[in-house]
Amino acid sequence: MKILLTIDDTDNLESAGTGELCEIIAASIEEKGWGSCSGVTRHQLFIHEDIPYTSHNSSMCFRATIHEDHLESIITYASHFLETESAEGSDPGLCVCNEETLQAPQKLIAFGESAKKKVLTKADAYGLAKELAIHLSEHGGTGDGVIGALAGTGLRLTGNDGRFKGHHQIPSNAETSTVQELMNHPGIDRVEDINKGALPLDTPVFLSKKVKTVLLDHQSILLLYRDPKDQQWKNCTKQHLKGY
Amino acid sequence: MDKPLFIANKHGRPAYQGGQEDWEIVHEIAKSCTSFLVDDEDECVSDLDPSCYNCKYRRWTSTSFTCMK
Repeated sequence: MKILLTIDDTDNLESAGTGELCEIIAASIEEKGWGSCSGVTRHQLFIHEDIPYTSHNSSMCFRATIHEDHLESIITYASHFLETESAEGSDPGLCVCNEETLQAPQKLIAFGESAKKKVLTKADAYGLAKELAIHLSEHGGTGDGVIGALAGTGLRLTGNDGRFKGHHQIPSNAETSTVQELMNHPGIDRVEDINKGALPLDTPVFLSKKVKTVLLDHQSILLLYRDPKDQQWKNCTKQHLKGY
Repeated sequence: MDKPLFIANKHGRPAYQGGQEDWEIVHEIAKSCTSFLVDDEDECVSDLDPSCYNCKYRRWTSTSFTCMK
């Protein structure tokens, strides 16, 4: 079965970030032989003074392919992990959604999209989770992280939201590559012009700084831009990717 | 007289007045800030390092950020 596991609000200003904890959970699932996990994605939620986020209000999600016998073990493990590893003063929430039995996924997507534009409540989140038979649990503090955890799941489900955590290691001698060569990288599904989509496979690409991908069309997409200074195709910078 | 870069918000925290795309200025501020601590890579949005926009102690607001140090 395929599940989406999302966590939110596990950190404080001094602690490790939520993304780091999410990656540890994913790695543990694989180490324990419970399943295989995809990359972690970061989903930006609404920035509003009535929301008690730490500094940026984003949630972190990954997809896992597991045997259904391991579902309860994963929920138990992730719950305990959040209770022991979340930072003091945080309000962690956990969402685990079985994609294959999910009824009315559009309702979950709508919740995620709504969480980018308005202030939602725990009651909203628990109400929808119950209706859709999604696991949603809180593990400390006010438990407000359940809102972002459920919302992040909905946003991941869209296949068109967020950035993948971390960056891709491209061999250091490959500063100049081609679209085809980059698409051969295991963490990159497609390479596209940030404005116009597909590029010819033999297009030369100059790589600089961190090579990061975003979630588009349910794939890990490396976005490029054409630098007006030298007309070279380059990987998008942090500033380009800020809005994803 | 130049307008102040930060004004205290209702909680007494310095709120940056230049918005979220004032790349060069917050780069200069961070260069001389003794509290600057780079945030997780995934939360960094400026290509100019250091930058208040990439600092673990900036808290985004709807229009700008607040410094939590």
